[in-house]
Amino acid sequence: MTLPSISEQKAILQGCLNNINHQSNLMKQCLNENNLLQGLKHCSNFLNELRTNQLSPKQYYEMYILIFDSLESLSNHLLTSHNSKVQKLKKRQQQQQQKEPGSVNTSFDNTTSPFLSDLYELVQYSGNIIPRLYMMIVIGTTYMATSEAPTKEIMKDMIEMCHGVQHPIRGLFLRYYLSQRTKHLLPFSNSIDFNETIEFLIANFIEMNKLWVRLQHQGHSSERELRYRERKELKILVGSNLVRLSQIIDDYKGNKDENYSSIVFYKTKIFPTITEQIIQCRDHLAQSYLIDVLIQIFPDDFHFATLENLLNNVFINLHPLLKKSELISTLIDRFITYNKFQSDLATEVDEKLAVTDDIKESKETQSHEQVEGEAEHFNVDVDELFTIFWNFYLRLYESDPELPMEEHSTILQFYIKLSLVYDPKNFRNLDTIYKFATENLITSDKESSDNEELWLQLLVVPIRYFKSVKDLFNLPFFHEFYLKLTNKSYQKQISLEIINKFLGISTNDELLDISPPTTDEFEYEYLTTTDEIDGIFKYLLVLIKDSQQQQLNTAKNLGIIKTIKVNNGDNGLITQEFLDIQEKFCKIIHLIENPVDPFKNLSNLMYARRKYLNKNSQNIIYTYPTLINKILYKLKIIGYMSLKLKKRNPKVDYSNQDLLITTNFKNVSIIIDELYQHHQQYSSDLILKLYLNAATIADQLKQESLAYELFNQCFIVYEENLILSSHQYNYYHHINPHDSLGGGSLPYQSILLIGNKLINSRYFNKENYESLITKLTLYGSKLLKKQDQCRSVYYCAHLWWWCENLLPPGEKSPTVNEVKAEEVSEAKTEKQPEEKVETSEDKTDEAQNADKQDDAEPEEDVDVEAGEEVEEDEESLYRDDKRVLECLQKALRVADSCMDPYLSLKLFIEILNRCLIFNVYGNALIDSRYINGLIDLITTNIDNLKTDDNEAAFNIDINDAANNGVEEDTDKEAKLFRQSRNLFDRTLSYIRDQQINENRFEGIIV
Amino acid sequence: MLTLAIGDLYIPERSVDIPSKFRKLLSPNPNSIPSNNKISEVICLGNIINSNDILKFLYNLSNSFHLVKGEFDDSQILSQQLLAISNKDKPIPLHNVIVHDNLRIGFTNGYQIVPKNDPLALSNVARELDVDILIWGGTHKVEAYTLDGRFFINPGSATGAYTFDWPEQDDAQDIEDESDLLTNSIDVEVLNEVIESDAIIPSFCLLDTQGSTCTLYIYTYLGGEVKVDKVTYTKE
Repeated sequence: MTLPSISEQKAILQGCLNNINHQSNLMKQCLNENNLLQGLKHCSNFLNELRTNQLSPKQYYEMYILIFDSLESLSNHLLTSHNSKVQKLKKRQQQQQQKEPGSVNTSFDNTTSPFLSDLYELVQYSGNIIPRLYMMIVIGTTYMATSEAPTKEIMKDMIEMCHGVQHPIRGLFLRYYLSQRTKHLLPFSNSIDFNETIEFLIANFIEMNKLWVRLQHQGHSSERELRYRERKELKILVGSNLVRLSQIIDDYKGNKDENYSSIVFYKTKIFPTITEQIIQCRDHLAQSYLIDVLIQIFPDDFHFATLENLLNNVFINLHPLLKKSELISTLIDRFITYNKFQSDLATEVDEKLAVTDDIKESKETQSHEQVEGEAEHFNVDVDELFTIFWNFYLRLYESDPELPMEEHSTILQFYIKLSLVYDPKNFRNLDTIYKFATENLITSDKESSDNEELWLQLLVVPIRYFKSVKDLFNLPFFHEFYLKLTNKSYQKQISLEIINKFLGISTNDELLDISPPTTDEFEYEYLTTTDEIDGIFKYLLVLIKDSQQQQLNTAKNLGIIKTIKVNNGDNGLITQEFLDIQEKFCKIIHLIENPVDPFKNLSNLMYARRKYLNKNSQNIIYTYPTLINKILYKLKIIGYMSLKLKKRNPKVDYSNQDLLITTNFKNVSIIIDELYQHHQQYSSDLILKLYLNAATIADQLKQESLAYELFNQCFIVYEENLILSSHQYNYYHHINPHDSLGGGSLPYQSILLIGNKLINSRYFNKENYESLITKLTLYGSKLLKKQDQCRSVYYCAHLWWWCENLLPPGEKSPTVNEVKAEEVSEAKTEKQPEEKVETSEDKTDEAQNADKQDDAEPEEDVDVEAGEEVEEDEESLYRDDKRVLECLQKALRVADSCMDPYLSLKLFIEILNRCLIFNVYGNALIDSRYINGLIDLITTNIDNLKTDDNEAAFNIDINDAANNGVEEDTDKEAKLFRQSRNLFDRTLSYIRDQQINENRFEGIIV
Repeated sequence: MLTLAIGDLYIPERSVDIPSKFRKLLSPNPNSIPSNNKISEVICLGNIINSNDILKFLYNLSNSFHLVKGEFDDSQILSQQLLAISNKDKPIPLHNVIVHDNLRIGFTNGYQIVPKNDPLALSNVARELDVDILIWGGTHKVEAYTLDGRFFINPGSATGAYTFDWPEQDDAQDIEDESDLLTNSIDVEVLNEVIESDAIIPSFCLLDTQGSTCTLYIYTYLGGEVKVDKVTYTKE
């Protein structure tokens, strides 16, 4: 039997539809004319169209819909005529009763029912089985709708008669019609009715399923695919029976039978029959669809009750090609939704309960010691649930060694979700999964490494779901499993997930359809023990060891990756991604924290470095500075704490703490040295800064010898590397020698850095301090370029003239104390040499001067608050006016020796400005006479440099000043000259200003 | 017009991020560019260290971004990162000057001013750059003052990164505590005192410039709350 072609089918369908419409109209006419028998004839005519087997199921369905509607109108007609007959009868009876009140409705039943029951008998004489059965059903069900029908007999009769049609499509639709018509008529008012209704539905389901399965085997074997598709279209017909079943169970409330429980009923009656049928049919489509329907339409409680059976007796016995993972995922998704619904409900209940405290307390006492507060509301035991699922998985694993890895992966993934949702703190179950996966699923052969992407998901889900990354510590096999991934890039992916989670960086959760419990604000968690450090860092090791430098060159040449040049452009390339990861590492170093025990904190930081961070010497340049600074900062805290304790309890011996501090400083030094060993070529400037930080802290903590040694280290770095690297760092582009703030060579910048730290050192003895600053000044005077030389020397002058006290109240700097002592002894031995007297007088004058100045401008200096402190300044600040003068003189000589007269001039003006600072700070040797001399020198220089061109340019500039100086002139010298003269003018007006407003610079001629 | 002055972030070297309240305040529309339509210029005083994320964040705040090199910035990497974000290959200078109406505003990280943070040395820099307002950083301590007719602004550290400078000296005399203390044990009270006296308050500044007047808003983050102070400077 072959079906006609598609176009033919269409024509046939159209013919059928036309005929149905026509006959149906005729039927309705007859019915209107109350010609019932003729109407039934037309009805039978259009029902005949349903006998065709030339149409596709979809087309058949179109016909069925049309016929369904026509039959509805027949049914309505029958029902109304039945009702009107009953009405009439009632009226008659009432009239009879009125006439003869004695005889009570004796003939009521006999006179009403025959109409529909006769009709039911009548249509059975119809010649063809299809029209006959449809008419029987439409009349039978109409009859059922009346109050006095023998419902159950009719049901039984109809379902029996349906056996007569064994053609799959015709049979399916016929039975579907039966099911649709009986939808609201099924009796369940008592347990007998209920049981029979259930039997009716199950019987219909079984038969329909058989027909449905049989459809597969119809026709030519080459049309198997087509059949399969057709059947898929029909699946809803079969499934509707199960839907009805579930509705009936839902509606039936046990009818006063206290022993009735819908769960038990389902478990004992419905579940076994249906599942047996599903297994028996051995049909792939039927099984996957029906199990799905079964899971979807019956309540969760039912599934919990039958879970073990469902998994171990049903799932296991299904078609081998059926994807168990899909069924499992449907089931688990349901359970997850249920859990969510329950917990929402629970929180609502909790809120209500909160109103009445007493009730709540009693509730709490009842609840078992569950970790999660809401858990008490579930009557589902997670462990039990998980065990059932797990046993099923083990059976599946054993029974089907061929099961593809995707299946394993998906099933386990859903198990993980289930466990996470039901109890995020239950690590045992999760670890069971990882343990099994580690031991059985993942192997190092090539085949499995192809599958590794599947395993990635298993690892990612809990990381994202966990509230805290630290939860991972409870899963020893998580790491085992992670280590088994042979593909490093997957390991890295997991590691990054962990880092991001730890740092609170959210990732878009496409993978995670279960949303973790949300927290309002992310809070960082600290790593306080070595175990916790191990717990996180063991996942980071793969990233720490990662070195991408070699591969990058080729990739960059091909233009695949955007890169960033490092190491001054010599063969160093990295990616932004790499830098981002390094940034994250550094942030994790910050989370190695212990707010209450800095000692422990220090040892933890050292531990992290020793065990993890030093594993790739190439990358330490990105992580060590953070580590070192963090250690130094902790040392600073410890040191200050120790100083404070010593001050408060002078009698207590704190040598232990002192020892710890010293040891840790030495450790820091070792770490910096490690960095230096590997990275001195390109990162000496950074290393210098680290040494400087360490030296500063050592000095602040009165660790003089350490501080001295650390400054010495700085000098070593300077001499070994920085002094040689004048040619490097060309990415500053052009450095303008006239720009005093524009940078300069690397050695010059290094000298400024060191100088700034030395100025703030307070606990060196005089000899050490002077040896350090002399050395530095000497370095400055040996720089290659004149401008660098000149500037570093005049900056170094500050090293001999402290301006800030910095020390805590009551402390005295040892550097100064010795100065005082010397001065006193000098004064005693040398009996009043004239110069000495003069200078000391000058000094006191200056001091008074400074006193007034400081009073006049309170906002200027934070440290000088009251006039009396100036005296103290003299004692507490290290100052050597002669050395300052020497430095300035040296700077002047260097400036004078410049080949470029414009640069000389600029440097002179800079020195003048420097002199003004020293003058204000009370250096008696930089007096008005000296400054006047300098001003004269500059004026002379300017006069010498004045040419007509320059002068013109200068005038233009003055004119243009209002127009914001559109600089047209290309004459570089003229421009520089002009800039210098402007600066000089500003300096002079500053002096004038100060003379008027602040009473400073007395005697300076402007 | 509003100008943001921010600096000394030290991410990731000494801090993890700027306070989230600062982030929300600075960038009300994080998904649009610019993410803050009220700020017309951003001045960053450097010491970003190595955070491309924060660099992007600052760059996207307004249509105009000025960056100077901080003490710990690697200008080679930083300039390439900035190039990738802005598509403009500009070197990162040590100082720069912008002009708003009648005000010349200069800014520098200040690590190469000797002595660092000295008011006279800063005044000298302002004179050299010929600016009315000098913004400098490097101390992690927010402050603003007028000296010799010029306005000096230090926006502090936006992240509250720690420093190795001397801590603020509190004048309060230590109470003599005679209670017996075990050596080597940690006195939590003293520890907290030390940490507190050394703590850096996260801060940044907004300059509202109009004509010859600059109104400075100082934002500080203290105890989980953002506090704002106002200082006004008018050029003579």
